[in-house]
Amino acid sequence: MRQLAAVAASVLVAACVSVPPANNEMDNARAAYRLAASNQQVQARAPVELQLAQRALGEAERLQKADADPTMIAHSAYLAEQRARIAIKTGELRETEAAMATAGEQRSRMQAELSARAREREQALTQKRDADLQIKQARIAAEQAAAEKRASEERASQLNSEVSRLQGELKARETDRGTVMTLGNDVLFDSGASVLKPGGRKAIDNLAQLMQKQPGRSVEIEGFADATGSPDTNRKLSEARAAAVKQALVERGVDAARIQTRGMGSSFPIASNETAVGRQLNRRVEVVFSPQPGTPSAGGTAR
Amino acid sequence: MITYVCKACIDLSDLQRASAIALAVTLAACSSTPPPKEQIQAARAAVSQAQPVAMRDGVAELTAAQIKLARAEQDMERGDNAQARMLAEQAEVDARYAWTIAENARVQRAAAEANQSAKQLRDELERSGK
Repeated sequence: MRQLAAVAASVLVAACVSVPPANNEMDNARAAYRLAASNQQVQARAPVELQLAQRALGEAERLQKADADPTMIAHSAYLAEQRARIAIKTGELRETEAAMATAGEQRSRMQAELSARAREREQALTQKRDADLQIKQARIAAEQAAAEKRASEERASQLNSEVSRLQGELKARETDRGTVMTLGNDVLFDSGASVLKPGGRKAIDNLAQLMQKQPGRSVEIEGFADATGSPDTNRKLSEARAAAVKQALVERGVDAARIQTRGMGSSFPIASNETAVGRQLNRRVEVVFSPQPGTPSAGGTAR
Repeated sequence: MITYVCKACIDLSDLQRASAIALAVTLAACSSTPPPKEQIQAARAAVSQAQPVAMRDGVAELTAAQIKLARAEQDMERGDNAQARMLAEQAEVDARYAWTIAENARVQRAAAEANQSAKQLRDELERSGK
């Protein structure tokens, strides 16, 4: 048994010595190193790893040349082969990393470009919205202005037609003193009296309305008498008649400050004082409207 | 084969006492190797580095490294320092190779994704005009 063990051991020892000199492993190591060394990627990006592989292969070559233990040679060759493979893979890895860094930069640039375009679009959109809004507002304002203009023209034309109607009813006539209306005929006053007769109310109402529609104009009320009686009496009577009309207008809401009164006595008769009808016509009140503000004043006193 | 050879070395240390002088010369190399603590340390470090990345790619190389390291540790415990040293050295390069393969694959995948998203961006840029 002991002898058998010794024999077995010696066989093993013999195996140890007679192992072939690891040619295969060396060939593999050399091939792997050549592959690594001829690779530009490895040369450029994994020089340290390539150097380690070279050193490992050198060690294996040295052991083989020195006829060292084939096990050691095979081991060294294995290390050299693995080092060469590591160098190749490292070169590949660093190349990929570099490419990724470049791709990352490109991506950042493209992202920046995209955000810039998005911002521009957003700005353009905002500007367009603002512009549209302004146009819309301007249109609304223009429509409102037009509507107001129409309304005011409407009001003005209504006023004008109303004024014309009232002036027509009051038998207004244009003179260079302004618009003159004669309140009179047979309805206003009895002879020698300054009390307005009920028949004159319509004319007074019209006059008050006319004044309220043209608030810028003031009036001068001139009272007249027929030639009956003394000039002094007639003057007073004519003044009283003008005052009565003023009083009636003020009662209808016209500002008293807009009304001046004058008594003209029996001067400026408009009909003959020889007949009752003529005297009736001469017992009258004339209302002179000042010119509309803004229209050139004609001045003068001619009637 | 390595294992056989060095088992032989250990077995031979008994025989050496028995007689064979010629063998004594051969075996001197074996027994004079100090414990390869540094090599085992380096192998452990390389394995630890590769372990978290070598999940899919480099897994075979990592496994080889782990087996060799474990055997190197056992051999060193048994006093087979020469064998332990060789195994540790191989475990280290195997683990480094495993790491490089795994990292390479990871970066390749990341690069492919980056290219994909770069392509999308380029398309988007083209669509957005100018």
